Amino acid sequence: MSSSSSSSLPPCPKKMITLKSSDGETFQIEETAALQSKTLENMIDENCASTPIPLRSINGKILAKVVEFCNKHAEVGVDAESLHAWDAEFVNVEYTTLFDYILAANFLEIPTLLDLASGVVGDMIKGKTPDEIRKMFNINDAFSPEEEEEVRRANQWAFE
Amino acid sequence: MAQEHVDLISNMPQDILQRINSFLPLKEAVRTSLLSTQWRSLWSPTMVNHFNAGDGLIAAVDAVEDSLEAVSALLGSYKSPEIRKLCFQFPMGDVTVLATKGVDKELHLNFFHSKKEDKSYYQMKMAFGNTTPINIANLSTLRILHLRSVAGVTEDFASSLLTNCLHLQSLKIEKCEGLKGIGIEKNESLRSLMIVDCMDIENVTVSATGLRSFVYKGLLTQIHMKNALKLVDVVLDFEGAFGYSDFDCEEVLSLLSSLKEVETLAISGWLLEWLCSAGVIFGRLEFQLQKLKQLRWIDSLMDNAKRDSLACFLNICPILETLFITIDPSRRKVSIPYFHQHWHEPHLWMDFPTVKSNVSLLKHLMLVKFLGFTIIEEDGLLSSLVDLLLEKTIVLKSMTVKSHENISWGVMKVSNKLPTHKWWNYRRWTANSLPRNFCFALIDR
Repeated sequence: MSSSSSSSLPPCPKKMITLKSSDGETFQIEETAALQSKTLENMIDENCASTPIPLRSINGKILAKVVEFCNKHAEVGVDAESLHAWDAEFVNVEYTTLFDYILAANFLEIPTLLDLASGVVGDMIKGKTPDEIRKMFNINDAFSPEEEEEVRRANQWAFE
Repeated sequence: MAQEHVDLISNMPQDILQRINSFLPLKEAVRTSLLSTQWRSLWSPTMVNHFNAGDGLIAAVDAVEDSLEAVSALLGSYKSPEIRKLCFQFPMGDVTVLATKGVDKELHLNFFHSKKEDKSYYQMKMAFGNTTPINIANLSTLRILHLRSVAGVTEDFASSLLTNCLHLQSLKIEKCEGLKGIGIEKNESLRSLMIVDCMDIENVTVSATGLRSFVYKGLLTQIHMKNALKLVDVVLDFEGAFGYSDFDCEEVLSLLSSLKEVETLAISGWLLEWLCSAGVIFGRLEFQLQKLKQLRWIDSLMDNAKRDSLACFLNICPILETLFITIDPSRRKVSIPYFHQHWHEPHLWMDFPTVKSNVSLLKHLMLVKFLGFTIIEEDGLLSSLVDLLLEKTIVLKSMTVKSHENISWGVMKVSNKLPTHKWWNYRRWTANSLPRNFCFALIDR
C-alpha cells in the first residue's frame, strides 16, 4: 500500500549542491547527504549554497571520496553490518590518504568520517613502540636522550 | 613521492592528534608523548592549584571533599584524554596529584608528596553498603582506576575515592608506601584487581563476587580471597617474605584453596618450595585446583628442591593443559628457612625416582615450555624435568626449551635405535631412569 501511495506522488526534485575542490573539479551532492557536514549545513542554512561552494583545502581526489562517503551514509535501508564492512573497505588505504580524509572531515565537520579515520590511525599506533610509530609515520623529531628521560620521568607509570 | 618522507602526522592540528589519542588505552596514549614535541605538548598538564584546607580535623575532611570534587570535575567529560596537576594542601602537608584521564572512563592518579615524611601506616578500604557514599556524581561513572604512590596524608582521600567509585571494574594499586591493608567488601562490580609493589602491605581481604582477575606482585602477605566464584586468572608473584618466622603454611594453603575456579595461575617457585619444606604434600590436601588449565612457574633459578616441589604441586592440577617453567635470574633469590614443624611430613630430600613415582599422570598436559634455561649437556635439572614430564604425559603435543639467549629447542622422543639424522643438530641425553625404550633430544629449530 505504501508503495502505491508513494508512486502516486509527484517525484520530489532532489535538491543538489555543488562543491568545488582546490584543483577546480566540481561535484554534485544531494542536500540530504551534504547535511552530514556541519560546515555545509551552516552554509545551506545561510543560503550560501546556491552557487558552487569552493573548498580550497580539499583536492578533487579526496573530495570525490568524501562525497562517496556522505552518499553511502545517507542511503536509506543499509543495515549496520554491511555499512560497517563498507566503512572498513573505505579506510583500507595508505595512511597519507587517511590523513587527507581526517583533514577533510575536520574541515567539513563530518564526525562519522573523522572518527572512522582517526580510529584507524589509532589502531595503527596500538601495540607499537615509540620507535616503530616514528618509523611508520616518518616522525623525525626525536628527543635527545636527556629530553627523552625527562618525558619518561614525567609519566613513569606509563613506561614501566 | 616526496610526501612519503614528510612527517604528516605531527603537523596535524592538536585536536586531531588528541582525537587519535582518544582511541588508545590510557597507557599507550601517554606513551605517544615520546614521539615528538607536538605529541608531547598534548600531555602538558593543566595546573589546578586552589585547594587550601588550613588546619584542623574539619579542614582535613574539607580537603578530602575538595579533592574529590576536583577529581569529579576532571571526569566531567571523557571526550579527550588529558593530564591535570591538582595541588592540595592537607593539614599534614602538601600533595600534588598528577591525574591522567582516559576516554574509556579511566583515571590514573599519581601522588607526589612535598616532603618525605615519617612513614605513617594506613589501610585502604573499599566497602559497599557500610558507608553512604558522598553524592559526587561523576565518580560513580569511573570504570578503571589506577592509584600510585598514595601515602599516609592522602589515605582518607584514596579511601573516600574508592568508596565513591560504585561501578569500578578495574583497580590497580601501585607503589603505595605505608599501605598496610586493603579491604574490599561486598563488591559486585570489580572485575580486575592489581596490587603491585606495595612494600608495607600486611593484609589483603577481598570479597568481590564478580572478580575475574587478581594480580599480586610484592612480598608475601596475608591474602584472603572470599566469594571468588568467578576468579579465573591469578598471578601470585611473591618476591620474598617479610621474615621467616611470619611464614604461615595454613594461610598460604587457605589462599590456594580459595582459587578453586582459577584457570590460569602464575606462582613463585620458592613458595611451593617453602610449602614442601614445611612438609606439605600437595596430593594429600583436601582440595585440588580442579579447573586449572595453565600454570606458570617463575623463579630466579631451578634446583633440586624447586624441581621436586613443582613435581609435588602438579598433583593438585588434575586437568592442567599448559605448563610454563620460567627462570629469570634478575629476580630476587629467596632462601629456605628451616622449619621445625611439618604440615604432613618432610619429603624434600627424596631421590628423584621416588619424586617421579609420586607424580600422578598428567592426562591433559599438551604444551610445556621451559624459558630462560641454559642448555648445557650437564644440565641434569632440565633433563630430569623433561624426563619426568615425558613419562607422565599422555597427550603431549609440544615441549620446547628457550634459553636466555632466546635460542629455541624442541624436545622430541627419539628411539635409541634411530640412526642419527645428519640434518638434526641435536644433543642426546640418556634419561636417568632406565630401562626405557627411548631417550630424548633437543632439536635445534
